[in-house]
Amino acid sequence: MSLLVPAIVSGISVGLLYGLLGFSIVTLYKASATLSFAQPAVGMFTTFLAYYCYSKLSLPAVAAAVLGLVVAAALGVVLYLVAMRPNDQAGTANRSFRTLALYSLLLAIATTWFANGQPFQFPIPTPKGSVSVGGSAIPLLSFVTLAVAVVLCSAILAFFRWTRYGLLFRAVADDREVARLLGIRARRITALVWVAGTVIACIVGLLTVPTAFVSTDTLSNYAIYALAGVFLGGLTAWTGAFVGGLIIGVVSNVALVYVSQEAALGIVFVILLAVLTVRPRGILGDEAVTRV
Amino acid sequence: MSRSRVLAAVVALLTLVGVLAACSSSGGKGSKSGTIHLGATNVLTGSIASVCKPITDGAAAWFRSVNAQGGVKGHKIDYKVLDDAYDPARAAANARKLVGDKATALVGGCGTANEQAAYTISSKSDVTLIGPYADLPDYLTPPTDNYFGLFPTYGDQDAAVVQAGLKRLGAGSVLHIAQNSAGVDKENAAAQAATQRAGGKWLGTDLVDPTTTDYTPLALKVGAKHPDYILISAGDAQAAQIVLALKSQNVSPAKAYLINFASTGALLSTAGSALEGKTVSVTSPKLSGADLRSCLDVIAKYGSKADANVHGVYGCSVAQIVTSALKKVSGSVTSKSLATALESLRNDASAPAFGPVSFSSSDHAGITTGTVYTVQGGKFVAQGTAPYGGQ
Repeated sequence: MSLLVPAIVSGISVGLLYGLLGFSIVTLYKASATLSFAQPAVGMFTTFLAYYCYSKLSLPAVAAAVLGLVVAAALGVVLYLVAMRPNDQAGTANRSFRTLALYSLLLAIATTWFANGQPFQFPIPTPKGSVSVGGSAIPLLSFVTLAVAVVLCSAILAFFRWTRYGLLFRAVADDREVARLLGIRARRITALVWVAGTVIACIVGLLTVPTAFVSTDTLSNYAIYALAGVFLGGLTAWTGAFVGGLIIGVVSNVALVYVSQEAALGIVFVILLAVLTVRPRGILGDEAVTRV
Repeated sequence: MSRSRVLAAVVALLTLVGVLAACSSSGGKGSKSGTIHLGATNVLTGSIASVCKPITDGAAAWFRSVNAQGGVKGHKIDYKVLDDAYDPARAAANARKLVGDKATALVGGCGTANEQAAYTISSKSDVTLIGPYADLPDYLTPPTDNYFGLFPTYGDQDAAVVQAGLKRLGAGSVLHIAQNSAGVDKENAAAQAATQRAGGKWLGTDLVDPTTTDYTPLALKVGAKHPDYILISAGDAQAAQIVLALKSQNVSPAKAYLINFASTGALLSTAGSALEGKTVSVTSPKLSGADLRSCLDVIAKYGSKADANVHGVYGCSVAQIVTSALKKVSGSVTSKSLATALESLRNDASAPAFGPVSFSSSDHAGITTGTVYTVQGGKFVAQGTAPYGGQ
């Protein structure tokens, strides 16, 4: 019993990271009807770019991280133009599989160009130390993650609800063709969504650096948990990505403490299967409406 | 003609014949045998390429330096390395190709599953596999034809560091954190036996998976057991993440971390402060000092700066031993003659980073002792030697 509270607390901490990564997946899906499997690799790759700015250009770590975010935004445009825009009228399945190819491509490039000698230490200043809660030491970094998650989520929700561009995003997400007929530049909107998704993935990568270093493996390991969280919470719900991520984080960490490493992943997917069987749209996902 | 003149003429003739025979022998051998073909299948791409690639790069750098000095007895070494991406099927195909290309031996390489697959193929053609960075205890006890170690098994590494740690800091409880892999049961058994031999108490093993995203649950479990020693045998990135997770939960061994060699690579640069003054490791090759010089110089001249690390030195050291054995081959170089030459090595000092290397027909492990290290002032500091297997 004494380990239960700390296991839950640590699960919430890592669940926020799954939620943030899931958040970028949901954002892309809502605005471009593309289920992006590439986000973990995008996060890893852009984190390497930021680290490159630090190690090769000898920039201070904070400046390198900020520059990394800028480069990530540019990469988002490039990924959209090269991989998503050509024949973008192809179906959701086609575009989603393109992201799977992007995942492998970015991983291969990073492994070839950046990985020799990994893992690397990227000394982004983060608060050191921890706070004791229920017998568990919660690293102060977890509070940074929480703050980033709250700020990002609030900002994006506010953007979609109260800005003109947000309205345009929603119009494109609801019906791309109708939006086009109404004169909305859907491709420009979609490119901006890719920028947002890539920057968010980069932020997740930078948040993992203090505990997992810079490595080609790190975010790949997050991929399966983040995707499970997205489907659990609902593919069309921003808050669902966080709810799903938190559930996955807590369940897997408690299972790790009380059962075993092997069982943890199994338990996560039993829960996912059960939820999707009973409630196909996930916990907070929208009901799919089909015109007849 | 006087008897003395006849004798002088006979001696001169014999000398001439001898010299001509010697010249003919050395020239003929070079032209007949030509290049010595060696090969390797290795993980050049993929997640563990950062550990594995420097191994064959280090070996290649050494062989280039040998060739630059005229080769071995006039024979140049052609060292061909193929990428298997840590895929046993590709490793087997690579081995088949290298054997087909008349490779005398497979040298170096890295990764247990893929090197095992390569050996399965190469051994069928009596082609020797030498010094892969892989945990293959079944081929060493008893020794298998065509397989020569140089990488102590994980079980031997664990046993050595447990014995060295408990001897240095006193008996206590030992908790093992190990990467979940095919040979982990044997490794556990060796570590447990060594703990009990040293008068320690075995607390068991917590297995970790390379796909783990959060090591906090592990840290919580470890903290609840209050171990005197925490034995870590995992990949170097993973080991660093584990140490940091333990530190973030304020969990620390009462006496020391016992670090398996395979976990040392990036540990100091990433988690060094948590290890300061509380670490014992036993490694081969050595981690620091003048004995690394011959390899580091060659890597600097014939290789890449990125390979000037412990893995590059390992590969270079394997190549140094192979070169030493090649020099001992009498007659043409074949896989069989190379294996015989390897078995004749006794306390061979041609790889200073390894220390003395000995093989025999009953021992294909090659290395029997490692160097004991502690962490002081942010560096690994040598503290003598310890026997592998912890005997």
